[in-house]
Amino acid sequence: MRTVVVILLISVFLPCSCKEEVIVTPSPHPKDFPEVFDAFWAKMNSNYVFWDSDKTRWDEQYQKYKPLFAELDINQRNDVEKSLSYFTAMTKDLVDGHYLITIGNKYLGNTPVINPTLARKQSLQSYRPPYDHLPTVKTYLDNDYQFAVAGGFNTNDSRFEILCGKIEGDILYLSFSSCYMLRMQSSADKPGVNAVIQYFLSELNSSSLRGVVIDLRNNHGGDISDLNFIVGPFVEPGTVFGYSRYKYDAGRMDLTPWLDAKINPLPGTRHVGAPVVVLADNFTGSAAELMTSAIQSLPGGTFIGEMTYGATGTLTPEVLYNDGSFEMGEFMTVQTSSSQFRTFDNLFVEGIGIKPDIAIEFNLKDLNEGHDEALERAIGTFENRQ
Amino acid sequence: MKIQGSAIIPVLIMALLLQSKAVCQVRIGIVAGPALNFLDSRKFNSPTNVSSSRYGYRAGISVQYDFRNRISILSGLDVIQKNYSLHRPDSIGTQFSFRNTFIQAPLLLQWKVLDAKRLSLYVSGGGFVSYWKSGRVNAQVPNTFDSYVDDKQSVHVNWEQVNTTYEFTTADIRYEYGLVAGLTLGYEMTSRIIISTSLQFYRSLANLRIDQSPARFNNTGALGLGLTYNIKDK
Repeated sequence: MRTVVVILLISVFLPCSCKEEVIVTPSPHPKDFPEVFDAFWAKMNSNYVFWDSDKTRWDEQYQKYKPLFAELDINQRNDVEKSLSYFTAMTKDLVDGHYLITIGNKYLGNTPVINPTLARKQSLQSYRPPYDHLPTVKTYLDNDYQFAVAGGFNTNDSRFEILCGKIEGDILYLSFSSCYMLRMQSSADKPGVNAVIQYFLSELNSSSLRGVVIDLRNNHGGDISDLNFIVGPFVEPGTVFGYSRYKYDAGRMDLTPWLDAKINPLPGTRHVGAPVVVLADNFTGSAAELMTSAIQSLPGGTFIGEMTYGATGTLTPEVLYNDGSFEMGEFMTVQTSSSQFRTFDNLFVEGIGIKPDIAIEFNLKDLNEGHDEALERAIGTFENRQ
Repeated sequence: MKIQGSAIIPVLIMALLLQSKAVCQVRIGIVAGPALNFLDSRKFNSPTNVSSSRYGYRAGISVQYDFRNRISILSGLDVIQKNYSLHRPDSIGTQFSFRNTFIQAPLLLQWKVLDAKRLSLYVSGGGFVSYWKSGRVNAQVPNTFDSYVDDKQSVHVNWEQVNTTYEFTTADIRYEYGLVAGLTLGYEMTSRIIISTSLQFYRSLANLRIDQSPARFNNTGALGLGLTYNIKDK
């Protein structure tokens, strides 16, 4: 009997003493590079939402870079520059299209930015810089088009441009350079932009429209509520255009179930039955990309142009989901998405982009000669539906 | 050094063999009752979540082999829920409730500490292995992809209530092992039928997460009402 009791006791207590757990506790205000590295690694571990689909092996990054950061001195300019190259290497394959690291001004006298998605795109032979389509588009518009410029709402979009007009009398065209339409409309100090928005809304309610073109080329995004504002007139309340999910706890894979991504028209919105075409290109990102996906999901919606940028998550304050962007004291800030998105046909397009229904390759020569093939195809789409 | 929990089982069997002077009594039974699970979550960076215990159930069949007057082996197969919830007590108020169903096989050594007429009291200890068969998650969460604009042009985020099957990820470890201890009070209704009530506590030694996430261990208490049939009389 004694043998049994002793063995039972051993079996109960021995394994308890052998639980292993490696825990990295981030410091909110790291003071040296070992602390910076630990804080960065741990916050990425808990806040990054794409670990289930990302190729980056985060544990291996810890093993590889921890000793390298341990050798750096945060007060030495050369070492800070070296840290930039380490951060760049650690994050180069991250799929998050919103991902940005910004180093604090105090350390290098400027604010260098690490942008893995843009760096990958720029390394491709097919990369082209952004192109301003509006001068060419204006040649297609009827003479009474309206155009306005105003200061933007953030440093990335410091200039807001809006162009609205008609093509052949019954096709309504709208272009806006960032998704701040609703905010612009609410701002008393943007009268020029407001007038164009009011023109768009009044023409949208015209019963004789053959079609609507929403041009999101070069639009980097902005407020997601613009979906309700711009796409709302074309849908019933609560229309599902995709699916989203977030983190619920600090584990890498602690993701909520997929939730419906919905469009809810603004109060008093009149339903528009006209077909709609969205034009987008490689620089259509974030909220503009979601708008592209939403229009593509409509029964009368068509997407013409290039693959979009591939930044379909949202940026919300860290406090909402305990995920997404974070700061590491004065040293650096990390911008990262707080949600995943899947399109209406269940495709995960982060870092990839949304595929157009009608693909039009960018043609600088044609554009410079005044031929906007994407816009012409959009007009052609409406002619087929006449 | 790592000790595998399943190593406990051969140790127990060896101990029993050393003691084997069989009285050869075999009983089969059924047991069912509520289970209360406490999630032991080692947090390192989840500043706002609080985990709470949740009730579930346990139901199963058991086989008891008495090989000495006071010592027996108890095993069986159970379906047991190890439920828990995570919520944020702050102003955000997000809530998640997880209902996780395990198929579990315990192996216990029982010692009859009380044998008074028709009443018997057993204390038991041993181990268990289990397989995380399925899960459901009931969540209440703000959905930034479902916003609306009010008459004053203010933007609001809708809350989503979702109740759906839990999708396992590569971070989940679905096999669990651990230790179990318990008390069983039996009442002999006839020479072959015993009704019993039992209280068992399962302590998992297996982290349910594979990565450097907050480690998660289930600690589960189960109250059972059982009916045992003696198929091999004394």
